[in-house]
Amino acid sequence: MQHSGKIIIILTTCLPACMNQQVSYQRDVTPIFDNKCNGCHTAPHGYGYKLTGLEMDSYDSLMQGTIYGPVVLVGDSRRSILNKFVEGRAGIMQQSLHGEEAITSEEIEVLKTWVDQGALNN
Amino acid sequence: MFQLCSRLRYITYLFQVLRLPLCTFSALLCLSSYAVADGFLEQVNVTEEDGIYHIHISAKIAASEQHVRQVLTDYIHIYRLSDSVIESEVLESPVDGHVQVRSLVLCCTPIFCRDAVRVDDISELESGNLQAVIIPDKSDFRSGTAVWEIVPDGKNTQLSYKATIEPDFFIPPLLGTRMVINNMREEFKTTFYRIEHIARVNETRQCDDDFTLTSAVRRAEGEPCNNELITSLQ
Repeated sequence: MQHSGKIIIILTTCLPACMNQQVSYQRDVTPIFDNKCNGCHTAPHGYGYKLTGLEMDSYDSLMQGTIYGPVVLVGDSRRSILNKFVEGRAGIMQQSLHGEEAITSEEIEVLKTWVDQGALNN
Repeated sequence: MFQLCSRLRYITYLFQVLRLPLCTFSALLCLSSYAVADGFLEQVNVTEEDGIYHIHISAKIAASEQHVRQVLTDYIHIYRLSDSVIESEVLESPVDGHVQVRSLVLCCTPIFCRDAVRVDDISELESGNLQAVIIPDKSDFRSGTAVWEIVPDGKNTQLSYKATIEPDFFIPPLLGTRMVINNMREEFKTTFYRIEHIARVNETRQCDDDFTLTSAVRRAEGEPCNNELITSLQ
């Protein structure tokens, strides 16, 4: 009984994370980028690439980020620029730039979970 | 079972007792969530008096004044200056020539995080300095004023940030000013570093016709050019 409190704390800390299935970059994330992002964020002629230097057609280029800095902060979707953008937390102008093909709430959740799970190349 | 419930109640109580001071402390850390490398901060001074915090940070930025100013007035991209700005929005100001910026800042200690809202009314003073005044009714702060002084220094810029801010919540004195100062220093180092980095990138890419990354990188070490600023990029 002495350890009950500790066990409960551990469980309440771990459960939310454990409840999310492991998101796969190849299986779950890449299709989102292919459908919603790579039209513009592809070198050398994509508008989004020209504007920011961000390529999203490979894991390495995504993690390299823009010429201004990284867009994925591993393990922290709230602070990651990628998630700020897709969740509409980066202001009206940013939304309109990326609003032609609206990203779905399910896709937003996949990207959030992927980043929070460590943004793995899996 | 009774023991378990008692223990749970105790833990809950402990969290409640700790949460308020830690959250308020966290919020303090985001008072200035704007952000450099150690050597490049010339002055970092943070003091507290009667619940009002006074901040003075200055640095020499290796970029031109116009590009530093461009970064600081690029309100739409304010989140680039600090990861802790987790949400930002440019609002219309009722005053001509002013801009309002609403930001949601995530402030964390190693234990807890807290979101804090601040809405700043920003204007350019006759001196050319930028002034941001917190709108208390819309913020988690009672008051606050910040002035960015941007002075050309050859190809560089002398950048100074002076601010006072009064949180609208209790700051536990036991946590100590030292910890607050250290955390704020880190935030400012990051923000000033980013200001310089972004300003330098914009300096190089203003010469590019198509703004491609390769061109920007190629020009990074080259001669600076004097084309007009490409504000449309912002």
